[in-house]
Amino acid sequence: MDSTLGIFNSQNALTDAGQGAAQTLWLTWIMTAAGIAIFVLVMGFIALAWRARGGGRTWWIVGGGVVFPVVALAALFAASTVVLRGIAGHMDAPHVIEVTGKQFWWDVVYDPEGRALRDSNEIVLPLGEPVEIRLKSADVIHSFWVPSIAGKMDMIPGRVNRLTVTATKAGRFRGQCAEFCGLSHPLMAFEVVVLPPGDYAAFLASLDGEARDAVTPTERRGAEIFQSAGCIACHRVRGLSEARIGPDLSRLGARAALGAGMWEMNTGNLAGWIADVGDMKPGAQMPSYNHLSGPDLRALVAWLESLT
Amino acid sequence: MSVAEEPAPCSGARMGEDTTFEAVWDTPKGWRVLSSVSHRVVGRRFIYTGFVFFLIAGVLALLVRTQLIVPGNDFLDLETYNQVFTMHGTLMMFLFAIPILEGFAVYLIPLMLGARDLIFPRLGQFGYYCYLFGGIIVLSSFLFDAAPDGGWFMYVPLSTTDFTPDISADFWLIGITFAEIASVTAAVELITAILCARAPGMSLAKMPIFAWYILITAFMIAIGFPPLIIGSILLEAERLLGLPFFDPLAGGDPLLWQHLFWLFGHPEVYIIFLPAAGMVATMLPTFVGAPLFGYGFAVAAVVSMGFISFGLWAHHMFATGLPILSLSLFSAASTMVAVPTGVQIFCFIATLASGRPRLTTPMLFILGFLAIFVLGGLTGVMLASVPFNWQAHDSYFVVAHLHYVLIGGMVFPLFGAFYYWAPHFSGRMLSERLGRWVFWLMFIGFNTTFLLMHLTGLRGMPRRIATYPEGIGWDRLNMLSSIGSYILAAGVALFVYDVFRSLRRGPLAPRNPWGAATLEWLYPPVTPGFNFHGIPPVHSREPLWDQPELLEREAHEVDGLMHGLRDGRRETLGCDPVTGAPLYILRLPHPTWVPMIAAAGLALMFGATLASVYWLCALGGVIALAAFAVWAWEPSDSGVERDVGMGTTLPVNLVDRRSHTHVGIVGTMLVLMALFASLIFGLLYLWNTQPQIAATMAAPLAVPSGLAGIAGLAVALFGQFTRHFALQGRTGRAALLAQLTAIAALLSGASLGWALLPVDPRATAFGATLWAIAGFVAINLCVVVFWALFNAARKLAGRVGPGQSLPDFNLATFAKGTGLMVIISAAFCLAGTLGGAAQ
Amino acid sequence: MSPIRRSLLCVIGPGIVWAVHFTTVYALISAACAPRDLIDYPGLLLSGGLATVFALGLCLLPVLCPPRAGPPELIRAAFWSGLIFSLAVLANAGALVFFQSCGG
Repeated sequence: MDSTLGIFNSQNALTDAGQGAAQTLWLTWIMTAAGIAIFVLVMGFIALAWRARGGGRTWWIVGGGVVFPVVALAALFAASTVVLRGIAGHMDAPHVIEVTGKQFWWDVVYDPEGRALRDSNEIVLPLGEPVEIRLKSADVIHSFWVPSIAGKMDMIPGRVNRLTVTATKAGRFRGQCAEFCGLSHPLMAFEVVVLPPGDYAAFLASLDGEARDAVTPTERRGAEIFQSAGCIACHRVRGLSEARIGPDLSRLGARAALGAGMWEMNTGNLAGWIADVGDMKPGAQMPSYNHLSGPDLRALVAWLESLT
Repeated sequence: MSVAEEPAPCSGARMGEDTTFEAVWDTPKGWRVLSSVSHRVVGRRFIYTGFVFFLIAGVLALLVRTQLIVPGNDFLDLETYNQVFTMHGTLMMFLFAIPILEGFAVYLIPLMLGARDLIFPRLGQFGYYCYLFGGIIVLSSFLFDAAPDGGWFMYVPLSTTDFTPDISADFWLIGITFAEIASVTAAVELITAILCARAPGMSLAKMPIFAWYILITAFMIAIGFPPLIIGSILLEAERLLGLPFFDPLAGGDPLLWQHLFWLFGHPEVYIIFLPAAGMVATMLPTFVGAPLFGYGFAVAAVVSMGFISFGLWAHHMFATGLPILSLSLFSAASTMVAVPTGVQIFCFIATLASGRPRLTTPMLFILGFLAIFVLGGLTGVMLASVPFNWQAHDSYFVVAHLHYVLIGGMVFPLFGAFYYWAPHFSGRMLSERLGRWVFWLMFIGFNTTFLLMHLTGLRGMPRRIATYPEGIGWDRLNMLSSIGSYILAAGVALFVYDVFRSLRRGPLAPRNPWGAATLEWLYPPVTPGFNFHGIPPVHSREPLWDQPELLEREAHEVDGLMHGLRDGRRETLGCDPVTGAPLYILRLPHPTWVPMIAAAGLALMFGATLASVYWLCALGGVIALAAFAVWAWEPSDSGVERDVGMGTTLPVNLVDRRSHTHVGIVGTMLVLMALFASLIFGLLYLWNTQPQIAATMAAPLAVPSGLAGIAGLAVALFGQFTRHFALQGRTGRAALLAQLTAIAALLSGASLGWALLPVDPRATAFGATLWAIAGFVAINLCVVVFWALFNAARKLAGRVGPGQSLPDFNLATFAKGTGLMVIISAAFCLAGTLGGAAQ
Repeated sequence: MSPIRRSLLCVIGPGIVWAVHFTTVYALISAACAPRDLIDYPGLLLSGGLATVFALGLCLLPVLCPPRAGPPELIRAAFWSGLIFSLAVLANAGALVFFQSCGG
């Protein structure tokens, strides 16, 4: 199975593609530098003490154990508070996206109180505009983490957590569930696509209305299999089904990754996924469709890939 | 108080037995050694068993690192990997770190403080078997292919029956709770031993610093373990009985579990660190050749770490969406704990400068500890910053941090301690040459493994993932970390080799081989199972350095109290908890199987719960209860006096607040109060965070709630009067009041149950918690009733002589605490009624 | 009370004061920021401030008027324990003033 993820710009807290990540990164560098300096100082002190013959001095303990830490910690706490105010300050974001964690994928609703546009496993953000992400869980605790853009926030059953993020670089970033959530926890990632605001509006508009129609005979055959094989009972494809058990497939072909951010989206991987999902993602609710004939599988894959 | 001049038969001299000192303290031979209650035997068993768990958990860690060595690896499947990392954390935290340190404390504390044994030797044996059986239960899950796979933190709802329908979670909850009994009993035992049995003249200010570390640690265990025990019991009740403590649909909250878990989990880190730091503070002066610099600072630092570490728990929950004011509070407290830690580190550094340090193997490990732990402390301060924590939490950065703190702060000092105290275990020294190899392999391997993980985490790699895709930037880092882990493992393997090699070929250890200052080196290391012929008066914190008379003569000729005392009983000196002045002769039990049978009964009870065979469960409970009764069914010894030498005459077993049994009861009450407080915390938490659902609960009945309160007051008051009369030696009145206490206890328990009749425990989490509180109080009331009847039965059977009021005195203290719990519970019921009426 | 007992109390006492103060502040924040919404931010600040002044006074006792007699080690331990816990009380209180709401 090909799992090279060159398709993403990054999943890295040391890059800054969002306001939260950038401010935290600043804090990280300062704390790291101070930490290394203090470490070297203390080790130097130990080396000196090893050679010293004059005996210990009380002021070492007072200075090194009380005065210096208090000053350093006060400075750290102040810096940290400034950053925290900066990150937690945006309470009135113009956009709202609701993300619900499920074992082991992500249900996404844009503008939940308005148009309620649904998608899965991919979150599109407008460049430079604050977005409030409402985090929920449908089963166990998950955690929403896109290191390149912002710190993480947990998704807890019975609660709605809010995380406000502002993406500052366009591109495709990888996020991943950061709270252990069961068998396939390592296979629960997602894509974050940052688009310029104009493109973002267009993207939202494209989520309205029916999915792309099947054009070629193979695609039409694929759409029929989608219904006859029972996929339709769980998966939503706009215009065909409103089922909400599995991920929304209305624009599956437009995603760069398959299986919640895990494998590159291509014909081989998609066919392998349908035929053998139990092996690729143990614990997923979807059964493996290894009884589909070769031509049927190819048709189904062709149609799914055409949904963009 | 009657004074006997000659040992009378009833005073406890066992007729017809050989009464030489050595014979009395002899370790039973052959398979009967399992019945030994000596702290030397039990302490070593804790250490050896803990080390075996360490090796098992270490192999699991190697499996983890082997799985992660390359991206997309299929060495382990997902399920196995989840089991492996869960068991690695569980074994290391619960079955290795705490028990092995407690083992060292159990072994060293009496030797250092000048006692012939721990005060409650049978409790030590009981605790050990609970630990062993609990550990076996947890490990046996592998045999049933049901190893826990929900993480060592067992977060709900993943660990509830909805998402873990098999019994893997029950293995964890039941086995670990069982093993925790050992930790808590050891805590009570150590508190009492440190406070009540020290050498004459050893005031708290003259106590070796190790004992301060252990004393504070023991208090922390007594208060810190109960939240998890309560959490585990609630979760098991949710799984078995469907009580919705953590179910948001019924007004429960998954975050309540996290609060309870981390209320335990954060202090736990300090519970692991402090004893190890105490070992460093003990070994360092030996190799520097000068006393610990800044004893007063160190005491202040230990005390403040002990307290402040309880105010940090929510920094494990920064990403759960707590209010920002809470984040700010916990962030502030988390940074502040760096101050006492810094004080302590600088005490060590100042000590280094006080003499001429010798670079022995233990010293190497101390230096390694300083380097690694300081770095771990610094990353800990980083993690206290909320925004940084949001990035680093649950990433490999935290994995790196916690291993720096735990391996640096605990494993390195522990290996130093192995080399330092090895003569106590085998009579032989470990190899200095191999020791250096062990150290460098471990040090280099450790840093290769974990230093890089800081970077891996910041590069976005989350924890607990069995596999990761190629090309995200984690490949090389993981490869190097895995290689490092093999180097670390090679160091540990070399240590194991060194141990077995030294057993036959190591040089025999001379008396006080390192030139140490503390009393555990008074005797030559190759000793039989006794500690002190005479307990020497101590007037220095470094007795072997400052009191030359101790090493001038053969150890068994060293002058001390109780040197020639021949009662045919195991005895040690009881002291005033603060000043260390000798107060009484403390009679200790001889080898017995009873505690082991009690632990086996409990094991049967827990095991049968796992297998859902409830009649067997009841049988186990009955066995345990019977064993406890036999345990306590021994003659009271108070009311006798003895000449202990050096012009001192002391009574046997004091009837006083300072009596060891009473201090033990107070310690136990501390644990019970912490359990009760954890339940009250749960109640208030749910009431506060889930007001709508809490309001739907049917209110408790007003009149019975009031009655329960009054009856609770009666329990407490009767308890108070019992204490009063017992202290005055008016045994008849004390006994009468003890029975009245029991009647009041019965009444209050019944009224509490009556008050809660309308409350359906399955409908709301709030109602379930009220029932849990009532259940907990009821168990305590049952203990009061059982105890009162038991005392009466002993009197009737002549096990308690006239004038002996200690049993009723101890019961009274327990009853006072229980009465207080009843009053508080009744008040909450009443508040529920009034609140319900107001709506 | 004998001097050694008094100095011991001065070592442990500030810790107990800190624990009570921490619990108070945590309870106040929980009262202000949970769904039940029992008090508002000014109320939180006022009661938290009062608790802090009180706690600080008690914690500083062994620092400002150290026990006169007793083992010197314990008197020194009492001094530093008082100081460390005073700082910790201040830090807990400081956490209340940087944010004026529960949001986040």
